[in-house]
Amino acid sequence: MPRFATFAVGLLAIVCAAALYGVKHGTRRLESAVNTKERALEKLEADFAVLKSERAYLGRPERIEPLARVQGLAPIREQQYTRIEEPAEDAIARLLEKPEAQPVATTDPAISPGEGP
Amino acid sequence: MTAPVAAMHNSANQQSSPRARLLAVMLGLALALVAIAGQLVRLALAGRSDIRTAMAEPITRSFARPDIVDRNGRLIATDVAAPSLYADPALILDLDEIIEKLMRTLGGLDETELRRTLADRSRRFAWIRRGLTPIEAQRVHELGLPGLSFRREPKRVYPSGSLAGHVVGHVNVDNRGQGGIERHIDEAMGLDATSGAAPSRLAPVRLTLDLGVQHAVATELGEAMQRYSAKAATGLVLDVATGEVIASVSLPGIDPNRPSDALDPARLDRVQSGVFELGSIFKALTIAHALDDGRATLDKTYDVTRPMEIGRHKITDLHPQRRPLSVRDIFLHSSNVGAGLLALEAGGERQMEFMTRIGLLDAIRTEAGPVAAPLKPQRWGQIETVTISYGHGLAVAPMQFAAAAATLVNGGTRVMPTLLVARSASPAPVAVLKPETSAALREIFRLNVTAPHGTGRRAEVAGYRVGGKTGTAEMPGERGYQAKSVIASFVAAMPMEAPRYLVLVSLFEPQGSPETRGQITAGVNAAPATGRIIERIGPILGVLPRRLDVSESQN
Repeated sequence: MPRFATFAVGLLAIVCAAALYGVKHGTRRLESAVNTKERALEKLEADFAVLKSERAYLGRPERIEPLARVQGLAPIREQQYTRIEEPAEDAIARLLEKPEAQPVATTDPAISPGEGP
Repeated sequence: MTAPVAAMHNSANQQSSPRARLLAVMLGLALALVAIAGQLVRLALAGRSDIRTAMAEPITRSFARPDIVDRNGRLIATDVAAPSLYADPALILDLDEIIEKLMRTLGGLDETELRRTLADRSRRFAWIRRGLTPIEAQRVHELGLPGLSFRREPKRVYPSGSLAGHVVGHVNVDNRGQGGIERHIDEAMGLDATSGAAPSRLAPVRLTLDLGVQHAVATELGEAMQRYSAKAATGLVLDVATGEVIASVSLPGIDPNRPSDALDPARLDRVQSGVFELGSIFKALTIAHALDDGRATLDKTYDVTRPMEIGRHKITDLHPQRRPLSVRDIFLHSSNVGAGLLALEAGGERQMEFMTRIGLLDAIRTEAGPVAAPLKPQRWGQIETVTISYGHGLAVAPMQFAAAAATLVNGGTRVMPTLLVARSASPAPVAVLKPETSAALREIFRLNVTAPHGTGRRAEVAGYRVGGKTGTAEMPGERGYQAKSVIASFVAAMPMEAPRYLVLVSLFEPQGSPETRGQITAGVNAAPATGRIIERIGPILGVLPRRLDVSESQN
């Protein structure tokens, strides 16, 4: 009976050790996976920061303005505003008085409404 | 017989059992040693270089900074991960080779300092250069020299370059703020210390600046500098109700990507860090004081037909009038004598009290740092009272003057300039002028632009109801004031019936040209430059032209 108890305890110890090793191994594998994902996230964040700054650099007003000028765009003038209820022919006639500039129509957030061009 | 046989059998079992157990134990130990050896081999082959690097790294920290954006969310400053080059001197094989190749690959290294650093083999870490460009890092990498490694650190970049350079400030090599808003971020918000290049978790810092307006002001000022051959120029756009600075430009500017720009005295931020006598734009304050005290009305007349003599000083007008002038006409003709008479009527003490009340004599600050303190006369006597009435003898920063001028047109509420959309503690509005005084000032500001003889008529922009005042201040030199070196300024507000924005433009030492018929006064240079600025920024700021403004048509 004592021999059986010794054998059983020894076996239990071995099983526990094996289970502990398995848990530890699993934890390290998870840690490694987390580290890998964290590194991937850091890289993505770094890439995002670079793209964000590049977008801001390309959208800076001093770059956009000459490009817009080449397209014949210019800051909106007082004559180019009109009320919706104003007859179209009146608005056109007023525009024809000073046709040197066209209103800006852009959806680029880098350009303020009415700015740049 | 049976008993001895059993005893012998037991004895044999007892002899073989210890041997078997010994073998089992040895086998177990051998297996354990094999497992340990196998693990060691695996670790050696896996090559965990980060362990070695971590041991070699000193405790060096950089700081991740929050983004800076303009009022519309457009990016002004951000952190990007940049490689920094360091050396482990203990691993260097050939010191001469490494120095020679690094000097050839990276310009600007100090050879003596580099040799001294790398020769010390007791050190395990020494920076070579921080914040390399990817191309520089690749070139160093291709050298294949042992003992050199890279770390990724946050590096501050300013995509808009010099557009808001003075306001934003710059950072040092550790990414700590060294001026402007960058320093404010360090002091007021704190930073995330990082040993890598992780981005900051802080929310972006939102400035009151509008990059579109800032660009328009900078462009028009740059053109004005060329057109009038001015040495420098400043432009400021202020929300007269909230004190928010929509644009602040000082040319020549500085690019925060090149912090050494800030060391050039010519690139001083004249808007906030310089004080100047701004000339006749001070007459608006003098008249506001007289009206607010009830000493005068716009129609009250003063005899300005003769120059004013105070001691050995003689005060004259640029365009003398041969008739008494009303307060309104003193403003329109920019009469020094008239302003002097109004100031003398009040006296120096009350003039000083008024200047203090309106915020011109206090030390003020914005989030970009302290505004240069006003330069006051050592003795505020009679002659000082007169000269200050027309803008000489008291030097202030344009930022401080703009805040005071905003008070003149916004109904009389004191304005504190701010550069952050959500400032930490918005001061409670304090009324320092009567509303009727402010209304009178709005009237004469507008009249100065619309009247045929108004000095600011060249600032008129169709539809935007501009009002303003010119100021041409002679600059002090070694032998007194210099008639040919002036600061030409124009302070304007729009739309004048209910001003929303104040624009202050100053041109430093403009020269005469055929276009200005040789004149250098503000009416021929600063006023039209302001008009051009307003024409561009009006639509961006959403100021509707007169015939479209519903609020106006309802009035």
